Amino acid sequence: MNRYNLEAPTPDGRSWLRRLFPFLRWWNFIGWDTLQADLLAGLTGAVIVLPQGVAFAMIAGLPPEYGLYTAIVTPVVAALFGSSLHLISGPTTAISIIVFTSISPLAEPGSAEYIRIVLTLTLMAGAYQLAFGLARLGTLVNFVSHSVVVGFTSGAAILIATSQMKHVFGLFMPRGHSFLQVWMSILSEVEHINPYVLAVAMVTLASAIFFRIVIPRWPGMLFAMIIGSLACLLMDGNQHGIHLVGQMPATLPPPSLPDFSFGTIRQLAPKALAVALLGLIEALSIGRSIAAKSRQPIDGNQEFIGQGLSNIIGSFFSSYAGSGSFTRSGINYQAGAITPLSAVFSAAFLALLLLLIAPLTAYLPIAAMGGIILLVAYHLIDVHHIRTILKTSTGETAVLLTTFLATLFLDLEFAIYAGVLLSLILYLNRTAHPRIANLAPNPDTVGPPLIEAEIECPKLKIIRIDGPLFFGAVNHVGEYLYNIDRKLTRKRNVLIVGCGINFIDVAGAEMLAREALRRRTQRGNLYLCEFKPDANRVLERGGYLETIGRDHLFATQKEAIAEILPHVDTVSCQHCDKPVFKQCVVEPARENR
Amino acid sequence: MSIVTISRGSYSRGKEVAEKLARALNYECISREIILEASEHFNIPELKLVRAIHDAPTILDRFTSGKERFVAFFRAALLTHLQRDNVVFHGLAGHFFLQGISHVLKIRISGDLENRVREEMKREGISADEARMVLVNDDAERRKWGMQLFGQDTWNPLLYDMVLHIGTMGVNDAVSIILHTLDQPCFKSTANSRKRLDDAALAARVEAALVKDFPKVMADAGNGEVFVSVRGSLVDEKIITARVERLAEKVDGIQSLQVNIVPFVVED
Repeated sequence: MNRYNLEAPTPDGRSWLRRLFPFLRWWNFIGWDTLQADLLAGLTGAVIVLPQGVAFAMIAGLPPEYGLYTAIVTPVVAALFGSSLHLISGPTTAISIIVFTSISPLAEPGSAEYIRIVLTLTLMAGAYQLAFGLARLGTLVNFVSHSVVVGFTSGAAILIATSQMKHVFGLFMPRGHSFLQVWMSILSEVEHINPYVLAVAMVTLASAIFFRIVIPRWPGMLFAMIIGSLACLLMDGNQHGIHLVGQMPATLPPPSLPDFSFGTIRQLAPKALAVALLGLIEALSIGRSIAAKSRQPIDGNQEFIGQGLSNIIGSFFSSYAGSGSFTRSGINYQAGAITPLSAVFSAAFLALLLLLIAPLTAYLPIAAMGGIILLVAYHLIDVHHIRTILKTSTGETAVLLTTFLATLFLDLEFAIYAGVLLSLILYLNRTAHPRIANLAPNPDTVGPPLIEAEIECPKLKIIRIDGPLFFGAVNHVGEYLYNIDRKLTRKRNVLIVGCGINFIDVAGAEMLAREALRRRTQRGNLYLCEFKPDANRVLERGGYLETIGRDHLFATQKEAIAEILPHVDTVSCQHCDKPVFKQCVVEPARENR
Repeated sequence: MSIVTISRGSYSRGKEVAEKLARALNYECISREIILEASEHFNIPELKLVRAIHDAPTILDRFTSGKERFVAFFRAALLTHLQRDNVVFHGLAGHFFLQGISHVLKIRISGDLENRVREEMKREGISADEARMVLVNDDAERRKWGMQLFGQDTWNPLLYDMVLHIGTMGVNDAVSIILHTLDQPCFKSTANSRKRLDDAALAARVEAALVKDFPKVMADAGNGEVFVSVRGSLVDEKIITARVERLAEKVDGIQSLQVNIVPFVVED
C-alpha cells in the first residue's frame, strides 16, 4: 500500500533484472533531493581521497597516479554492483601493504613489470571474490573474528610506518628487507639521516595532526601536503637531497592488460587469495558498521560480487586491488550521502581534479608523503578495541597477538590465515565444550520448574546442555555423564533437559543411546525432556529412541519430574539428608535433625 | 449523504452523466473548480496544475518530482472540498485518492470509440482519422499518467465500484443505475467513513505543505495525530525533523506530529 491506499501493482519480471543489476533496486529512490545530497558527499569524498590515493599507491610500491586511478574506477563498480549504499571502495592501506609485500620480491616496485604483476594480482583477487559471491559464501567472512582484523591492521600499521622510514629519514635502504632488518639498518645509519628530509616530513606530519585536531572537517591531509611542498620549496629541497614524487600524467585511467601467463597466475594464486580475503573482510566489516548507523541490511554475497567485479574491471583500467575504506565510507555517510551515486560523483570529481592538479605533484616531496603515511598508519591501530579484547578474553587475545606477530614477522597472507585458523580452532573448541548446567527444583512458585543451582538430588541428577550435541562435543558430554557417578557402583538417574540443544547428529544420538544402556545395566536410567523437534527426529529416525526408551522422553520438565520420581529408589530416599523435591518423603526423625 | 466520483475519457459523456446525477440528487457538481481552488490556495498557475493532472511525467519530472508536487496540491484541494459531502466530482484522479472510503461511489464511464470520434469531429471540425488519433493519444496519455504517478492503470476496473459503458446504455439509464446504487446502505456515509475522509484530507494537506521541500513526503493522519515520512540521511535527522515541524505548523487540525526519516528504499 502507498499514500493513496492503492494496492501495489503485481510484481513484474523486473526482479531478475534487479538481481543482475543491483543498482536498479535503489534507482527509483533517486530524486533531485538525493542527487543534491550525493553530489555534496561526492565532492567531499573526492577531496579526501586525493591525498590518500597518492599515499596508498606509494605504500603499494606503485606510481602515485595508480592510487588515483584505483580511486576512480573501483568505487564506481563496487557501488553500483555492491549491496551497501554508503560503502566507498578504492585503495586502502591494508590492501596496499599486502600488495607491496606480495609483489615486491617478484619485481622492482614502480617498474613496468611490477605494475603488470600487480594488475594480474588484482584481476585474480577480483575473480576469487566474484566466485565467492556467486557461490554465496558471504557468510564465511563471519568466521573471521574481529580480533584477526584488529591484529592484522595493527601489524600492518607498523609495517607501513616501517616502510616509510627511509623516506622520512632520507636514508637509502635496499629493497626486500624484513621488518627487523629495516630497523637494524635505520639504527646503524643514524648518522646519515638527512635533516632536511626529516624536517619536511615532520612539518607535514605536524600540519596533518593540527588539521585533524583543530579543524577536523577540513581536508587536512591535502593542506598538510601543500604545506610540506611549500616547506620543501622554501628550503630549496632539490639542493639538499629531498626527492620529489614527480609529475603525474594528467590522464584518465588508461586501459591496461594484466599478465595472463600460466607461470604468473600460478605464482600469484595464494597471494591473490589473501588479498581477496582481506578485501572482503574489510569491505564487509566496514559496510556492516556503516549499516548499523544507517539501518540498512547488507547482503554479504552481493557485496562480494561488487568487490569482485570492481577489482576485475579495475585491473583492465590501471587500478590495483581495492576494498572498502573506513575513513572515506564514514565521511561519505556523515556528509549526508543517500545513494551509491555519491561514490560515482566522487569518482567523477576526482577524475576532474586529476586532470587539473596532476602537474602540481611535481612539487610534492616524497618525505611529505612519508609524513602523511605515518599518520595514516597510526590511525590504523585500533587502541580501543585492542584494550577491550585484552580485557575480555584470553582466547581472543591469543588470536590478536598471533595475527599481529605473524603480520610483523611472517608473510602477510600467512598472518591472516594463521589468525583465521586460530579463531576457528578456538571457536570449534568452544563448540566442542558445550556448557552443562546443573538444575534443581525452583523453590519459587513463579518461573520455570527447574533452575540452575548448586544443590542436587543424590538419586536424580538433572542437567541442561547448552550447545549442539555433535561429533565434536560428544567426547566432552560423554565424559561429563561418565564422571557424574564414576565411583558409584549403582548409577544415578540422569535427566537431560534438551531445550539448549539446537542440533544433534548421529554421533550425539549414539552417545545418548550408549549412556542410556550403560546406566540401565547399573540400575540407573537416562531420561530426556524438552528436546526440540529436530533433535527428536534424529533420535526417532536412527532408532535411538527405542534404545533410550520412548517412556524416557518427556515433553516438559514438570511431566518428567512427576514421572521419574516415583521410579527412583524410594526406600533409600526415606533416609535422604538432601531432599530437594517437594515430593521427597523423608523420615520425620531425619527431617527434624 | 454520499460522494460520487466519475472518471471518464474525453467525449464519453461522463460529464453529462455527472451533471444529470447531481441535479437528480441535488448535490454539488464539481470538476475544474478543484483546480481553481488549488491554484488559488497554493498560489500556482492553473495551466501547470491542469498539465500536472493530465500529462504523463517527463524524465525531468521524475527527478524534480514536479508532477507529484502539483498532484499533492490538487489532492489536498479535492479532499478538503469533498469533506463538505453531497458532491459529484467528475474528472481525473479522484478514484486514486479516495480508495478505502466507503461512502464514495467510484464510477468509471467509458464510451464507444466511434461515438466519441463523431463528437470530436463535430466539436473540433476535424476529419475522422484525426479525431480518432487525438482520442487514442489522449487515452494513452492518461493511462501513462496513472501508471507513472500511481503505478495503476486508469482503466483497471478494480479501482472502481462500477464501470458503465455508454453505448447501448444511454446517459439517463446510467444516471438511473447510479441513483439506484446510491440507495444501497453500503454507500451511505457513516461517522467512521467521514472520519476516514477527514484523516485523508488532513494527511493530504500536510503533504501539500511539505511537498515543495520534501518531494517524496508521505503523511498518515488519524485523530489529529500525523505521521510524516520523508526521505533523507539519518545524519541530518534533527535538521529534517525541525524543518518538517516548521512547515507543517500552518496546517490546521494537527494535534501531534511524528517525523520518520526514510534513509533508503531498496526494492526486491
